[in-house]
Amino acid sequence: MKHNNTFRLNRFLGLIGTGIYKRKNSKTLTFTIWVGILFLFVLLNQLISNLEFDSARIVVTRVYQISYIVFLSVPVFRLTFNEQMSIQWNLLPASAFEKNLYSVLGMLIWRSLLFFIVVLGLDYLLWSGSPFIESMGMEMGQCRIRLTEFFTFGITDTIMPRWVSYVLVFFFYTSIPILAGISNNTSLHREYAFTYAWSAYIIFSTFINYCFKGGKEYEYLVIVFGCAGIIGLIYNIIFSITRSCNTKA
Amino acid sequence: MIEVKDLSIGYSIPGNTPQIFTHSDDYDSSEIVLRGLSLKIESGKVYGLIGRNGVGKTTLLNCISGLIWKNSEKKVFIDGMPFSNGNPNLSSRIFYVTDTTPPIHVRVDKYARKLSMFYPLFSMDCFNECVELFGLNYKEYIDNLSLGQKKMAFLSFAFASNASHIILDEPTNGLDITSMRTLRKLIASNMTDDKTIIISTHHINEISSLLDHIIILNNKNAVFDHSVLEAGRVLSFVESDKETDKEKALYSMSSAYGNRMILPNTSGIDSEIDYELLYEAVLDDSNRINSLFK
Repeated sequence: MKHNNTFRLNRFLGLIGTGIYKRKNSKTLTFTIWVGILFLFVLLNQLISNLEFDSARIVVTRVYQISYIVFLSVPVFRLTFNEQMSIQWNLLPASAFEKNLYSVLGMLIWRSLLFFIVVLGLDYLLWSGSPFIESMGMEMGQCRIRLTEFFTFGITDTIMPRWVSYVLVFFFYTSIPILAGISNNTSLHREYAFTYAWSAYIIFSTFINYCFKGGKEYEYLVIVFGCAGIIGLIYNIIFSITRSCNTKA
Repeated sequence: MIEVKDLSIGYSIPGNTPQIFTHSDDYDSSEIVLRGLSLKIESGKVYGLIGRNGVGKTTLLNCISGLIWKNSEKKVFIDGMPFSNGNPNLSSRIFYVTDTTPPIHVRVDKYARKLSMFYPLFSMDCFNECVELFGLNYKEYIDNLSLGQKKMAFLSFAFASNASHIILDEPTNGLDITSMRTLRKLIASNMTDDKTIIISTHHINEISSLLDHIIILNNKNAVFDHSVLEAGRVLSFVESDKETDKEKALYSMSSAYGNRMILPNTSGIDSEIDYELLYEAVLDDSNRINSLFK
């Protein structure tokens, strides 16, 4: 069957569009909840900063940390998209390589949007001040914990520039799901692996954050997992190509 | 043509996704859904796939459509070529309407446009015609549609895709009487010599007039795999209250007017198939029925 170039282009656009949609669709509600809760944390943060007694501050901080874990757990349970969507994705007439590649690209594009634009954007707004922030009764730079620290687990710039840590944390953020995705041998089951991996990731990262918050040890871990994420991504793409070739053979 | 050769599917981990086994010693017999199944599904025919609940009909269709893809290239052959979901040239020749339809938040017409990117022979005119015949609204979101309407939308995509092999899992579920008639009309009008339609259903009588071939699954394999024409020529389906007929019958079932029976067809005239009776007879003793087919 011969395909013309318009068909090829349309098909490419269709695949990348569906790849993003597949990711986005599973998270739309989560994303809305996330942003809403994000502002609640900002307000809670204000409360902690303004407390006068240390004991009260410790109690509220503990509650804050527990809520923070719950907050991070929300996407875990919303991440697995509908099984029927998964079936439709698997039925699309595209090669294993294309599906894996666009699935990974879709995930990266969507997470990049979440991480770099939303999180860093909100962080910038909160720290540089804006009429919106002022209307909420906050002053510039008043937040005790920066929003990025929710996602970077209190990373500091002791051993590497902060922007490098952001990039590494982004890959840290994506490494385990990517690795889980390639380790599973059935396409239907693969999506569940993402959820399992996320659960493990949240528990693990919360634990190490609790142990090494703000310290050099934690930053070393970020470097290790960040690099693992980059390797995982490269491996996933190579694996997809290899599997695609095997299929043809 | 779709060819399935010595297919064994089962669960290596209970509750996990089924997988295709390549060697007989790879599995425990208790975990197997289909064992050593071989089928030849020819072009230009409508196949009816029937069997008890949980016998492996959907699993077989999942395998043929590429949803269970690992090792499928060793066991499933589409138009003579080893089939794998990873081969878009082959997978674009198949359109699978699953039993349950996804709650996608996309309008019917937009989904058709998106889908058309993957099927080189997709015909938007055919899609519009099908949607109109079913009386669907193009502008409706798929996740807002009822079960029957979702089925109609996906059936419309299937016929518009112009795929050579259309696989329908329980297509009549949720369809009203008018839509059922429309479906029969669409199947009949879309059938050409180069197309195959496989219909898995529990409501065989609703589509019986369209069938060219019947496959009955039982005991992890196909226990009946014959054309309708051949079945009508070999078997005679009668309803009688004569005791002498009952004694000669291969299978009988009591009815309001005596007994519904299957007898060897010696009249030389093709008999009209009583699908329910045939199904029960095959499940009762497939060897006795199959022994009449050469």
